[in-house]
Amino acid sequence: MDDTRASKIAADGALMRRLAAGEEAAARELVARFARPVARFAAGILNDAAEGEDIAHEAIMRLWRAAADWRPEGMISAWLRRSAYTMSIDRLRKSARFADDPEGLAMENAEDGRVGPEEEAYGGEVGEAVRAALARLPERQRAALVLAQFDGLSGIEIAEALDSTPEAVESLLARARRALRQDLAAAYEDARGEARALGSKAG
Amino acid sequence: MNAEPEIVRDRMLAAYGADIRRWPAGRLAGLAGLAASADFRRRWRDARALDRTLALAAPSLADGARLERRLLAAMGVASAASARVGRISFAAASTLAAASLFAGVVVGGIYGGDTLDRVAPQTYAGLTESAWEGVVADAEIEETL
Repeated sequence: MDDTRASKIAADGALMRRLAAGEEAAARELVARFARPVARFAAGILNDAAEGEDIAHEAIMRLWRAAADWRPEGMISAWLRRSAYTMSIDRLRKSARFADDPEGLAMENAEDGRVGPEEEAYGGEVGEAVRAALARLPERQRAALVLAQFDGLSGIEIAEALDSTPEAVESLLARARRALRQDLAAAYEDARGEARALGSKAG
Repeated sequence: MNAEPEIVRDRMLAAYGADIRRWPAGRLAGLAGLAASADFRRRWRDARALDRTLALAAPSLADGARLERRLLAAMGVASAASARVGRISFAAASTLAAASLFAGVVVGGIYGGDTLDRVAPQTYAGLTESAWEGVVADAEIEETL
């Protein structure tokens, strides 16, 4: 284990001891450091910001309640992401909605008003297409990509969060990126074909 | 097991994308000069285009401050006067770049960019700055065509 990682684990252990002792400043630190990143990670898996926040809430509360039992062998961030990942996948499997209709979910979100008016612009459409393509990825590929791309985690950190190895994570990431590329290329070709058809009608 | 440097380089690009800062530092040794390959330059630009397109799908939070308040309340901790943290609107940040980014995934993604310019030399170990300058310069030339 390198020194940086060892010192992070030691610092996290100290934070957990302060939490177990009921220190309010420790609770604030825990929330300030981890609530938003964990919520974003879960939102990336679930393709739903509000559900991502619910998952982050649950994961952090579980950790807080179990602070006295914390064993300083890993990092808080990895524990929380692993917990959030498990809960997110459970939620996905219960709903099975991504497998059936990822675009339908996007529409549902838009009708809920969770998507701002600017999302109607072209950039929003592209982002939606990319999110839908992400949602079509297998669960572990999606989780690895979200952690690498949006959280900037290293292969080792992702492996820890997904209970895997850095080599397996590299493979997951490579397959995810290849699949996305193919998926988006097909979407682009479809859009271009439609544009050509419209152009010829107008002409 | 010592894989050929070209294989390592291609694996890193395929897994971590075009931002060299994301590549594991331990896997960069011996890659100096490999950026000069035309094939690698093409794939690097493709990877960068995908990176940028993916950035359009970065998950945003509905209300991060509310989440923090909920958590502190559940813990029985009084919420400290928190500084307002502006949320970055995903769409506002992405709209202008969207068309070229989306197209870039398919056509090779040679549009703009300074990722490599900002990479500190020490973060990519044996990769010389001049080698990476070649990558960027090539992209810039194509951009003007």
